[in-house]
Amino acid sequence: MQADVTLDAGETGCGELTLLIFKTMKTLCSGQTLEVMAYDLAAETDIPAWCRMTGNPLLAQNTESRPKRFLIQKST
Amino acid sequence: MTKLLINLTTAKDNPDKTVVAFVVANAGVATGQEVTIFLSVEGVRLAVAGYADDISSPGFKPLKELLADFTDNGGKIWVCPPCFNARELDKDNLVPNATFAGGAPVVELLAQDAASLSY
Repeated sequence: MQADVTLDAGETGCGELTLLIFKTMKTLCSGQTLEVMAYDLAAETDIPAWCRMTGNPLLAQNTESRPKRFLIQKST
Repeated sequence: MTKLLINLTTAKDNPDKTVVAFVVANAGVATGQEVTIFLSVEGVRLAVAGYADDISSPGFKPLKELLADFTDNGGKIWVCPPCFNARELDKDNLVPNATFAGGAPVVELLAQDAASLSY
């Protein structure tokens, strides 16, 4: 995944993971992309839910890789 | 169909509360509601297959049967990963219909006007 910014969230999960993504996304400009790498068991549930609620599109994900990878675009 | 979220934080540490949560959850599925039980804190132990087998409370069916009734009739079980990992439980041995979910999907469900109960 080609992203403007990469976030290695490690083992962070639940509300801490989505807050970390929220804070990182604040540093991006509209249209830029963030790749999140996560080991959390619920990352493939939590991150898409966060994207739906915040309006930041989830462009791609790979939940088979370790870490799991998610490509999010900051909405315009 | 109304959405109902039941947050359950207990297991063998409070069998009465644990059983009642599932009884109410089954009342939800029996009336056609879309019911999700969110297991957190000690409640995550219930996500491990076999753990609930010896839990019961006077006046009710054994939890093993209540759990089967719930999942057999479409009830969903969400399991909090940090709570699960903190207890070093086996993620490859979950009960049917159990998936890992954290704060975001719980909040999303509540934001969709789901009614909620917490035990």
